[in-house]
Amino acid sequence: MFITKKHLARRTVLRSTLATVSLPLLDAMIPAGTALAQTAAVTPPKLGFFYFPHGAVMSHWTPDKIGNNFDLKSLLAPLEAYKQHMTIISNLENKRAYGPVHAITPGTWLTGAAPRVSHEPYGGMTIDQMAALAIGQDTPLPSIEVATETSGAAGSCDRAYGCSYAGTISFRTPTTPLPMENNPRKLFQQLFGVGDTELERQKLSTQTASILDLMITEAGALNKTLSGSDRNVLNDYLESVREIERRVQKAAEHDLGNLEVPEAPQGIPANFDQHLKLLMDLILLAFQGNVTRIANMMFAAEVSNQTYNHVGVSDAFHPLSHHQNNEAKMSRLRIIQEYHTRMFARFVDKMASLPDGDNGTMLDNAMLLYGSNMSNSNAHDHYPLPTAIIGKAGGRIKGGQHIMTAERTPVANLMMTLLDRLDITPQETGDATGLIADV
Amino acid sequence: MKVATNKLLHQAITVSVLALAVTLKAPLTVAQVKNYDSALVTMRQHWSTLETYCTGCHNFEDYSGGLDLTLMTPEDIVKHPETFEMVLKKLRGAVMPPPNQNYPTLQERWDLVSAIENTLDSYAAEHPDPGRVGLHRLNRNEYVNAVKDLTGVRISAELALPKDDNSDGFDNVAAVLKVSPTFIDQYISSARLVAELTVGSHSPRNEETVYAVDGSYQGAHVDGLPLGTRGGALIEHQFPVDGDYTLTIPAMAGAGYTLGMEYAHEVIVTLDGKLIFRKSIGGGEDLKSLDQIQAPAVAEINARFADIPLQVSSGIHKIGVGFVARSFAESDEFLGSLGPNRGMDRIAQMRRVVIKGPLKSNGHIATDSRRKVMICEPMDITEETACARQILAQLAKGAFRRPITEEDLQDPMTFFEQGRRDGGFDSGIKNGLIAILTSPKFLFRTTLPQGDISPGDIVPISDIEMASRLSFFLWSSIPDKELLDLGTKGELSKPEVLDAQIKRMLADHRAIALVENFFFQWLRLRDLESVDPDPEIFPDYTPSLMDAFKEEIKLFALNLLKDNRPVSELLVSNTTYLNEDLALHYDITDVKGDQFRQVKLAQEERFGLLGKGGIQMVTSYANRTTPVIRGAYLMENFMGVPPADPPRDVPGFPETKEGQMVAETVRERLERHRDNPACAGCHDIMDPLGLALENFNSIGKFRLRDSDAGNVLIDASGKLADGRPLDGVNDLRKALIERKDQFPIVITEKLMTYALGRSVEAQDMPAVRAIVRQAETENYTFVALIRGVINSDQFRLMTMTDEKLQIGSID
Repeated sequence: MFITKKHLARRTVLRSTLATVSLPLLDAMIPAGTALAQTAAVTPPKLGFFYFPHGAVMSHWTPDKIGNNFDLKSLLAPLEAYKQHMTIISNLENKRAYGPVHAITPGTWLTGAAPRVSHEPYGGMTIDQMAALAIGQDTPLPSIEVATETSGAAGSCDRAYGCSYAGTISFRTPTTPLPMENNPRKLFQQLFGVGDTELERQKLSTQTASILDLMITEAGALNKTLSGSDRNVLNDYLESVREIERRVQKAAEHDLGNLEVPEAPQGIPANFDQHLKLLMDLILLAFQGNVTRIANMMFAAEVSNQTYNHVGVSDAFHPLSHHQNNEAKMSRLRIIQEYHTRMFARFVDKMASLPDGDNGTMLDNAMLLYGSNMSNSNAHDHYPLPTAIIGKAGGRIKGGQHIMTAERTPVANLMMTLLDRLDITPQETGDATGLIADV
Repeated sequence: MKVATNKLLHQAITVSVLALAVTLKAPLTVAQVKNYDSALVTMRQHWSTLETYCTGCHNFEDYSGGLDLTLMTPEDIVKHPETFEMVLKKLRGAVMPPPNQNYPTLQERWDLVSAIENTLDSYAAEHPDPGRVGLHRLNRNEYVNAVKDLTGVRISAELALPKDDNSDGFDNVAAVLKVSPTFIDQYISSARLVAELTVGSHSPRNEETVYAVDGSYQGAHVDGLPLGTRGGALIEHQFPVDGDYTLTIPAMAGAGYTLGMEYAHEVIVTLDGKLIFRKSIGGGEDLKSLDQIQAPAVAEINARFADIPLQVSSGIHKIGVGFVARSFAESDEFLGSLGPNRGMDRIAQMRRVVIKGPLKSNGHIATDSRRKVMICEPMDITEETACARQILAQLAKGAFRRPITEEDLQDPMTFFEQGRRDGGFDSGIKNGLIAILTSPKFLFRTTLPQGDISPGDIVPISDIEMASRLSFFLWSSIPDKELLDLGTKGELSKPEVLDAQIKRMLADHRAIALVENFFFQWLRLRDLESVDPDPEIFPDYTPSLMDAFKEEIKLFALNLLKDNRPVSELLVSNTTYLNEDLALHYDITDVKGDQFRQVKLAQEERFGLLGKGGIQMVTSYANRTTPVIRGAYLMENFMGVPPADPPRDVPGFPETKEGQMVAETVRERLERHRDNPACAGCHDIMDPLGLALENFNSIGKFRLRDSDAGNVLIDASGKLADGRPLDGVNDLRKALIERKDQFPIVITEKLMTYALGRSVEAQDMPAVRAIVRQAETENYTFVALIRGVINSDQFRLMTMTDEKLQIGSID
């Protein structure tokens, strides 16, 4: 890839006929090698949690060899160039995901806590949010949540657990699942705000501050009249208001550096491939502008019936994942899974080409978890989970190895290890039994 | 339990007692509610039926379904209402005893059912518990409707707010309507947008609005565009001010590929139905220049459709864009829509429409929303504050759904003053409106106890709160002035006033919300989009067929409601609503044109909801039917007995083996899967129900043969769980309505969940049955069930459950 300081002026792009053909143009518009917002010598790393539903065909995921000299199977092969940045951890299990077949799988990935049996969400705080408390408070957004689809088919809801655990991989508090945004336009506005000019943005931000004050005082007045459980609902509300207040303040202070912000996308592209690429480009843009350090992403919804015609698979994803060990079906399923890895590799590629202050490339200082909370989709089991980390988190993670943990090691052990490497004390440890020393 | 001595409560209880008195006279299918002691006497007589047919499995050793009935006595029924409500569901749905067991006679089954019901219902009558709905956030549909009723401004729910979680099949359940920072963020930006659109601006910024045109299929006529056109879109755009605007249809021509440019197509633009623009694209010259000079030709062609002038007054105008439909008879191209692209690569398409402006304006605004909201106009600066107070008081009253106080106006007025200082009167009003729309008093519905009460007390909700309950139930929106005024005056506790309001509200156009939100969620029709039929298997399928499915069911349900028909007609009616495309899909050839109209069906298979394409499609996969999903859907939504969740480690449905020349039928594949005894327990019940619909393919086309499996004749026969034979959809339909009160109970349970915005629990089921018993005198009309829900204690009263109570009023 060529790195030049040239980039297309926005107007040029808009005038060109190409602009109408494909939406994911963002990379062309981002000046190559743009430095991040000026940072201190050691910046906290960028964290990404990339979730794919319905597990993986494990025989094509787990390397045969253990240690530094490991091999890559087809599901990880697109990441060949980043072997030195990669840590594959095998033999992990998530006992907390058992129960309803799909409905609690996403929501229990990043936490070892067992959700309460209730439609009212009560799960565990997820590690991305624990990290957000520690390293996400000085960026405008503590974290972003992104998905191509907001909900899957029937089966993503459970009679006992409701739907709250299927729609997201991130819980801000045990009772606050964070909705995943699938509309690139709304995601863009979340990242860069709604005003057109600097002056307008300032005016709006002053107004927002007083609206938030108002929301707090009015809620306070309402609170006096409420009883116990209603008050909890209102407390969630108040806490959310305060969080926005903090973000507005951060955004006002925040300097996007010389990041060229492209035109806001118009909406959801009709084509799935373009949609996915556009969302991932926006995540990258958020990282680049240091708008957030933490991104959560779901490649498809749990129990997704998405078809992957663009890679020649016309089966709906979820029914295909029930492959009955049928070779032909498994190979079609693998095409979907390999496609996800290719899209992830495309993202990693870009991170590797961007500097991160004095910390080398953005990839060097990143910690991207790529995996699923299901193993064999045909059996709906949660052992062994497909799990890989890309990036060395600024040297805090060794990288370049395939670790075979003891059989059925709780995946929470890995989650706690990741927090430990970031010097973060977890709020809750779920069913973790210890750390994985080799990571 | 202590009951508050409250006049209203007295009234409410008197009403329920009266209701009971009425039902006593009515000839009922299920025996009468007696007092608990006498119900227990009857129960003891029928207890032996349970012992004969149920304890073979539900005993200490087998413990099937986690239930041991052997140690229970009739007295235990009211101690375990959850268990016995489940027993009732299984008995009423006739799914227990399971297939191939000893069955009770019909007489025994229904005697047992009424004995258990009487026991539970009489006990509940003596120990009422109407439950309580907690703090209730407006969901995004309600928010958008409220904004529309308040200001006349229409915004898109999808763009305004994040998706709401749902529970029990509905997206208005208080317990899961949580708030996260994203919501706050979007409440603020939506409030700004609404304020801007409501008040308008005399010199608005020259802005671009981009509308995406559905690119999936542009061969069909779009409803609302002139006849004889195809593709394009009908856009309702709000113009902020009188002035000159432009319209651009960008990028219809592109370099490189010239697909879609082979033939000349006429592009038309209409403004409020009048043709204002017509130019040609594609064909001989265009094709040649695109091929030969490329980029400049692309620019020239696209410039033809750029900056088309629009001179309009402020307010909403309908802009139509499309192509003149033409024949392809002169070409060698396929006439039909074969192949995965459905012929779309051969015809010109539009992707987006951009409206830009105002480029020039006289500053005059006269939008409907401005007129609605700006109820006074200050003549000079000294009148501004008084006028603003009047405007904001009216908005706050509507938004907070109650009479307002001085304190309520304080913040909006402070906001007004701030805004006025920065940008004059209009800007002040916008600011004040933002303060109202972001207030928790608008965003949350509350039912606050009044007076001196303690936990466990049962108290009525106030008449003002009743107004909101009614409007959110029937309209998914805030109460209008009439309803709110009646609530304020305390009139809604008068049965005749309430009744008249229910009638008025159901006749109002806003009652469409009941169809779009209740019906569509109950029938899961919102999931239709996710099915996306495989174009290789269903080349004829277009998204417009899905829209037609929805329209059919919408009109079907709406008319049932308006004509006050019995709910059983949802299953048996031979009337439906079709346009030409949908009629052809149903093999009916004498319906012409795009308009939907009432049609009497001749083919019995198509009667009622079971015959509708939308139902068949939403219970299918993209590439095949799924009797399992269909069976589960029928059990859950039509029989009221949702199947148990599948155990884990169960392999999915066996697909046809790759390479096998002739595929197996879905039935053959299912039978293999039912060989496994772990699966058979449930699937023996579920699958035959789904297989009865096997004559409808994934997109609801009627078929006698299975084209996926060597064209064999479809066998839609099977057995109901109680062993009675079943063959096809007509038998299934008859089985579903056999018990007159069964389907009404199922639908009332769903209706109550939706009306209250909370899960319906075992303690609510006696109320559900009371509503249905009462509705029998009115032949179980949908309106009778709605009225029953509204008059139920669950709707009108609440049980104070909370540990801590602080008494005070909202002000």
